[in-house]
Amino acid sequence: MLDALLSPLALGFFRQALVGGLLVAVVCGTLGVFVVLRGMEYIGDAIAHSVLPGVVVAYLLQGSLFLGGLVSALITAAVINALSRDGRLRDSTAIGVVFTGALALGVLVLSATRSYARDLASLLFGNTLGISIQDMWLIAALTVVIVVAVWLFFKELVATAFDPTHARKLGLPVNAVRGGLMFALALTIVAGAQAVGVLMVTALLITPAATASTLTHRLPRMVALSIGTAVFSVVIGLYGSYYLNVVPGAAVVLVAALCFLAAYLGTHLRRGRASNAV
Amino acid sequence: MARFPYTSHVHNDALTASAHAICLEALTYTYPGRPAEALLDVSACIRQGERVALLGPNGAGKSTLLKLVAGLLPSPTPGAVRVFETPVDTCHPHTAYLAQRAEVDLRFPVSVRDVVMMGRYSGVGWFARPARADHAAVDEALRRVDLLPLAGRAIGDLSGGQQQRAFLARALAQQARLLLLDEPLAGLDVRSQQSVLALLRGLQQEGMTIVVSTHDLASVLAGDVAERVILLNRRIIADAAPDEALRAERLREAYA
Repeated sequence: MLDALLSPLALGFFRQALVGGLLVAVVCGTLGVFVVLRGMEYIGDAIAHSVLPGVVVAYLLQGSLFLGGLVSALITAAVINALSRDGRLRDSTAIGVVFTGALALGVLVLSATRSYARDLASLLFGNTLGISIQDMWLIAALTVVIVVAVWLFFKELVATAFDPTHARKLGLPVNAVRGGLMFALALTIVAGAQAVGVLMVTALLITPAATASTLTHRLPRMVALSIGTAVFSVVIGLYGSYYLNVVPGAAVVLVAALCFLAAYLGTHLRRGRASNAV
Repeated sequence: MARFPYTSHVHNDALTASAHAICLEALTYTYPGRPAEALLDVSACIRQGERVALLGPNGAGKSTLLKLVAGLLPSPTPGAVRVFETPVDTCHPHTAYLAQRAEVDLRFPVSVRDVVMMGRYSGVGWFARPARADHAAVDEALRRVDLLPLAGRAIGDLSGGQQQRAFLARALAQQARLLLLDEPLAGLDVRSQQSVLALLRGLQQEGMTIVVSTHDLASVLAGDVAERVILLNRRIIADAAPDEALRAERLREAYA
């Protein structure tokens, strides 16, 4: 048993995948709670998919993929914000229009180049088993900065998410807090997408936080449970993919989804039994 | 003197000794991009310690008026809206505004105590945690609204009336002197309505100024909501004691 856990660790690529995946799990688990509480899931999804055109252009110009992705993610976030700010367009409508447009632009440019299918697959599903040292440092730095920022601004993040009107009355910069959260989201998605793929980053942003929200009504506990579930999914997913010889990114996402299903069914069965007893 | 770290607003308590809590002078407000005015030439003054009902049909401008007084909408001309004798440019720290309940996500994972503590945040400021005095103020506010035994419950587990009382406790913890409540009775059963109204009467006796918007004619007529009624339909139709303001011809004019 112990040997089964330790033997993959002897392999450099597995160690790197595990460390990279755990860092992404911690940052996504933390940020994800606020994404889910604010109902920003689709914004995360939209940013994730809109990374494509920037990455493709950066790839063609042989520039930094990270910067390319970040620029296009930030443009997308800003456009969605501007379109839905004064309430003339619903969030979900703005997101739908902008993200499919950006994705199509990326596919269009990419299809003009030769290695279309392979590159798209590695962007969508990540290259978990080939995280570069630079990517690793980037994600490590980002994880530290974002976790510290969430800790420092926890009170303000909660107050602006719960009752933005009251927060404005207190003089809190509600729009700046929302903008900061969007910026952190864009950074996380771009850095994470390079390492573990768009699919895994979006899933780790939403699913563990959603799992935690079914289990507790206490916010600090929810953050801890969200990080815990994300870390669990990465560890089980990566070992599973090693022994079953399947795609690591998809395995991690599937474990996270199964955790959610178990938590959801568990709490509903318990609640059902409690209400039957009464 | 009290300092408010988020706004770096230094508030002079002498101002709150002013006679009027609210003064509106020929207030006309039009939402950007809309053809018709939401409020037309509204003038009224509300003294400190008054309890006023804002009555009118849907779309009469009740919420707009409350939001202007709360500083949540920009005042069209400086000085058209004055709160405690100062133009309401920034949000006044001693005004509390309770939005309609539907505007807050009540499934949010916060306890009743957490919600009330948010009333203290403007005094706590960046990078700080609530101090002992903040916790004491929260306890005191919870006791005042009879929610101390439920302090640890999630806000979503409370009944509508209890939630409304929790938001009132948040205003108390904030040390508000002026309460603006948008439809606080909507969706409550009669008993909860009575408990909220009794609480408001008690707060008025302690010197709080209270403005309540409602479309519930019956309870306003019974005199439960306020001693003064402002009947509104974009402009002021009547501004008097309940039985005087709610004469049949006035109501016909407001609701026509």
